[in-house]
Amino acid sequence: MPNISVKINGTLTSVREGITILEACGTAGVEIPTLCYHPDLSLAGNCRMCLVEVEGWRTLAIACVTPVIPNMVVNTHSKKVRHARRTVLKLLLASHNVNCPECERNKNCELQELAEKHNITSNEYQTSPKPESIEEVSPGIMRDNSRCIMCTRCVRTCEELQSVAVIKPVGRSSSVTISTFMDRSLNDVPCTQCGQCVIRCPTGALFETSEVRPVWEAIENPDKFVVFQTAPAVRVGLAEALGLPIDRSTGQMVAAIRGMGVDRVLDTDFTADLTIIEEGHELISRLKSALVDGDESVALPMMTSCSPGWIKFIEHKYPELLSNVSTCKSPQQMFGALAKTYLAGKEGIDPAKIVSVSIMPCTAKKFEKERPEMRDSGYKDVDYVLTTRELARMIDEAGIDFEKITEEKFDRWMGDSTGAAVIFGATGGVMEAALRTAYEIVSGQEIPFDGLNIEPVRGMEGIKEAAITMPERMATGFEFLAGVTLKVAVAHGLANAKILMDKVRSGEADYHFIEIMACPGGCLGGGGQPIPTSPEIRQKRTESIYAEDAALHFRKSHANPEIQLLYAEFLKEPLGHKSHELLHTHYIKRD
Amino acid sequence: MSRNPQKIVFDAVAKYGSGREAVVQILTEINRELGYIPEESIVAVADAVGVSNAEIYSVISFYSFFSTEPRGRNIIRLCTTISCEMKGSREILETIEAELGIKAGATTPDGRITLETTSCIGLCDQAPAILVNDTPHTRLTPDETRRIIAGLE
Ligand code: SF4
Ligand code: SF4
Ligand code: SF4
Ligand code: FES
Ligand code: FES
Repeated sequence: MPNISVKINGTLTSVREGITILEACGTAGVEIPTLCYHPDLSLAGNCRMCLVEVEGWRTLAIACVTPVIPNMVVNTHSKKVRHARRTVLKLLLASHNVNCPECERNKNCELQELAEKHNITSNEYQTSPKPESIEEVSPGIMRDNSRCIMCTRCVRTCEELQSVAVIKPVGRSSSVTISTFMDRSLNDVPCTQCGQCVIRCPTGALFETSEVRPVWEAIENPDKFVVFQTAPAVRVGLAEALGLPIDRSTGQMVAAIRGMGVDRVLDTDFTADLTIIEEGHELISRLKSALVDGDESVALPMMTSCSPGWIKFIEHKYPELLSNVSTCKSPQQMFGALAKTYLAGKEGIDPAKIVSVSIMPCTAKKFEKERPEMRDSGYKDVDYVLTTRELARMIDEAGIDFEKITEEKFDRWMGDSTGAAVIFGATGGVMEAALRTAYEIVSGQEIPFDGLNIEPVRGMEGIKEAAITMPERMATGFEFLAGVTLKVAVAHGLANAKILMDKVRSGEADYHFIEIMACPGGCLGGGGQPIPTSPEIRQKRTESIYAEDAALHFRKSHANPEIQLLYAEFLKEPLGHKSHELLHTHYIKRD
Repeated sequence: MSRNPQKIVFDAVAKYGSGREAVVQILTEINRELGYIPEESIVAVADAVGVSNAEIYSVISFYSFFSTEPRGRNIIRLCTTISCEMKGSREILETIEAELGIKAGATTPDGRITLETTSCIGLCDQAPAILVNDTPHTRLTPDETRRIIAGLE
């Protein structure tokens, strides 16, 4: 497209033809307020927050959907525009249940921020707030339609990014609400609890089902032994959730959690490494059954199982492919099962006293911990799940100065991690970690990628593919894989998962191993991560993740010393009896 | 005897196709035959068209002539928009409510009549107006209204 010349607020600018006024203003460094616009989504143009004046036009233009034309003269802050924007805001607030101090999104709300920016201190419109309407039965997500501004960002997220489409506008005119099939609870429709709608909602209409209060109670209870695990992506999101620039903050995070009075600060990375060992062996054993024993009942491609939103998705949508999913529990649930067995033994603590809390970039993890299967320790394996945002709120509440705090290290037994575990937080990370380990198990040599960085599975492409050819000389027992080309695929975002699953179902795909993460970008873009999200934000978090990987001494899961100890002392061998009892699970078909 | 809901969807898809543009026609067929659109039909339409149940439900919720609840054999829709209001729609409403012993939005216990209010039905020049099933009745008086009701099966 050729460039054209437009004048924005008196300054001539050259922009690409065909882009919107909003994008043109962006290139010119002029900020326009928006609400229904989101960089990850299709255009809706329904909120009218982005109105601008175009000289010669009778009405104001909707900047987010109107393309620029040659010699267009745009004024973004004229009297007419300011009046219109204030009116839009006042009308939104008039039908809004304004109660910022008691709102989950206080100080992190686009509506509040715009109201402040536009000096809305009084409202002449008669206010008729919708009654508070909280939907509280879903384990991961709550909705309060009285704070909804009908921007449909959630609706577009659920349909376009996740191909789930369980939330839609229901009703007409002033009685529209965002609702579900037959107005059911999110728990009673095929919602994956991924929380992608939550991190794209501009207001407090969608939020996580919070467990901050019971976690404080456990910490305050001297009879309880509170164990925290922190997921890989939390360390690259927490600083951001506390209002600081995006960066990894592992040491500060550990110190802050310890400062809150938690008994043991441990790492989900530890069980991410464990997942790699178990899942790697599972893959090799499936390949052996298929290639050597010619067992046709073995389901290939094998698919990863760490993302609970993905698991719920496949249970609803592709139940016939459930035998392809690795039986490995997610790192969170492996951790939970070991905390109340292995760790209890190491620490000499009665498992009944252990309260196991995980910090997750994820809302679906709240659902996962409630699954009835997740009680293999004899107790509820994970008692509470907090999102990155909830942890940030607790750190704030505890009065901890995160910026100044001195870095500390994780506690022992289940606190060691490797770079392979850290990259679980990014799309492609599980695949990369699994390949680093599996390749070495079967060939006895390191995977031949520069610096162990398996670039083909990295990056933001929706579906990534790679083919890795095994060497001719293999370790004893794995000769059947000599020269075999292993085909793998990685998808993130459930809409991409759907494309891949349709191919698998139709027999069109011939992969051996598939990694799926429910959330765009992987866990670092999870529904429990700081708000807002955008491609740039996810890119920065990704860079932090790979920087953390590169900085760690151990980069391969099987090199983790505590994992080696765990097998020597407790599990004995991968896929062994104890592993099956504690670390593996099964799935169910859901309607 | 009406056909089973699945069969209606099946036949309607054969007639109108399974594209998104066929949704309203398929739903109209179901609504006409059963008087409402039951849950199982919504699921069947969603499956046939390849969209989510929520999407079909959203479409249904937009049209006041569609219902997801069973309704009476006859439906009276009374316009309560301003022209009819000025010409006495309130009195007509009271008349019907008294006659049937139900409030707007409800169905008589014998399943004979459902009473609903509606926005303007385009008969403002002949207000007050009602639609009884597909038939408009205009310039209503309470007596005329009672007579119309009495004539319903
Ligand atoms: S959604 Fe925003 S404006 Fe509304 S109560 Fe919450 S913080 Fe305030
Ligand atoms: S949590 Fe995910 S699946 Fe559920 S409504 Fe939100 S976007 Fe859709
Ligand atoms: S719930 Fe949030 S994202 Fe969805 S329409 Fe309402 S305000 Fe927008
Ligand atoms: S941001 Fe442009 S109309 Fe909503
Ligand atoms: S106002 Fe009643 S028909 Fe138009």
